[in-house]
Amino acid sequence: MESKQQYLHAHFYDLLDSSRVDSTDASVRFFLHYALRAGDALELGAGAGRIALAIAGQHIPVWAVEPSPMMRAACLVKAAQQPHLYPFFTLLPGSAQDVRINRSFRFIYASGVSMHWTSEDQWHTVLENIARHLADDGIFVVDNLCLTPPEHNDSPLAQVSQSRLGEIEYRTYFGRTWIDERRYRFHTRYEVIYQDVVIEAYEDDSIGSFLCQETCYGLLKEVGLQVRAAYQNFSFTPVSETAEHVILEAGWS
Amino acid sequence: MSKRFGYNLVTAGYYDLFNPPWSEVERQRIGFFHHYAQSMSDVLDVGAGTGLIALPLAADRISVTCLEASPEMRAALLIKAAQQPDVLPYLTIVAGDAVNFHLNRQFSLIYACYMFHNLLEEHDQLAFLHCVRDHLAPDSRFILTANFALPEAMPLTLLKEQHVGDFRYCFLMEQSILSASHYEMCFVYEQYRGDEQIDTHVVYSQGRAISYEQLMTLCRDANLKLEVAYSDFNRQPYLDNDSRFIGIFY
Repeated sequence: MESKQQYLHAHFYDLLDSSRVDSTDASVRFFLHYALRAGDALELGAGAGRIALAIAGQHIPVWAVEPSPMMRAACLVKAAQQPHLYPFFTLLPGSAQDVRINRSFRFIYASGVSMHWTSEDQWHTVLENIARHLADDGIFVVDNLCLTPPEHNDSPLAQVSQSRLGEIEYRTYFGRTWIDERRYRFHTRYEVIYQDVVIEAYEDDSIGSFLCQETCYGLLKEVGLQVRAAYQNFSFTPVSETAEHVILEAGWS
Repeated sequence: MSKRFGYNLVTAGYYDLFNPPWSEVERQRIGFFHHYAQSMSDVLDVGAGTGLIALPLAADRISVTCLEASPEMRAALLIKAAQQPDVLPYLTIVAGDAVNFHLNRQFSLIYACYMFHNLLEEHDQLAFLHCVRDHLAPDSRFILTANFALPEAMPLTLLKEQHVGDFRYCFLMEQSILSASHYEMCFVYEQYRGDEQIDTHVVYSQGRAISYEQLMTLCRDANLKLEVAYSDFNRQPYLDNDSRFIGIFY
């Protein structure tokens, strides 16, 4: 089943991770590289639009599909400030597994979301839907995969970022608890601090999972796709055995 | 189904889509407040909304504190601020109600634009003005906008359309008169793909119209004195019977 996260605190994301508002960030340039070649793009799980808005900024039509109303709202708030993007940016409610668009795309990508596809069944449904929308010469790219099982150590909440806006300080904390061999619970806490006093605090949980390399390749094959390249970072470095995270580029077999 | 009063984060996005800061109307409004804020060290925006006025001021390195009661509006403001790293040192967003805020500091300029009519009772309007008075520093100014006439009743009417990608976003409004002094506005935001309606959000807002004399009485009670009054953001002098009022108080 798909995670029903609400992302009620989407408004903190960009403030607490400055790379998210940097259009020259390596991950943005990575996906832009494919979009420029393809001429159009479909993003599944577009979040607050970090990558999709950058692609639209290059006058490439992009469809951003996002299930969370709060994330779409954050996306729309950002898009509304940039009228030059309006002709190129279509924001659509829906999830990676059930969205239906009556057209195909030469570039489909999913960034920072694949860990939320928490079962092989869900992966299969998502990949079937991607195959439904992928053009004959289309490319599908997915990041944030693990080739080898990560260590199953729980990590308590720890501060990972802070930012100051005027006289208010904002902080983020991350923690992780393993549920079973494949799935973990990811904890996030946001704090708003004024004069050393926490005046607002929010917590959010999400479920993530690990999918081994063979399973992933097999699921792609089931829908007629095959891996054409595997990278260990957004600088197109070919994957090595020690890579923690993997980005896969796939096309029709 | 109960009516939703006030914007949520979703409708805040729609609001910005139809009220962009680069439109002529908004540029005049922003320019008006910038004129007064540019020589001030510390500015308070009461009912800052999504920061339509405050963000351009902060982008010009004017320190602005945004008081906003709605968590959703504050969220939209935070998202917009995060896209502009240059404004971060100059913009402070605080949660607070216009009729009961205590920031333990004073400001050289306080303004409240298009929010006074949303205070539906006279005691709330007076409480707001007292809060303003308490936060004004010596030799400071307070700018207040008000409407002295009830709006005319209006059936649901399409006012604006905006295309974004393959979608068409529409803004409709309805106005109804509730009493001799109170009125209600209904804002409808719709999203279409072709002729298919994808999304609809409805927001209600109520307002209270008062007279010039009533406003001056309230201001006197709060020890606020009128310095000059205008009827628009181009600084046309306010004349008797003008319905729009922009007052500069001290």
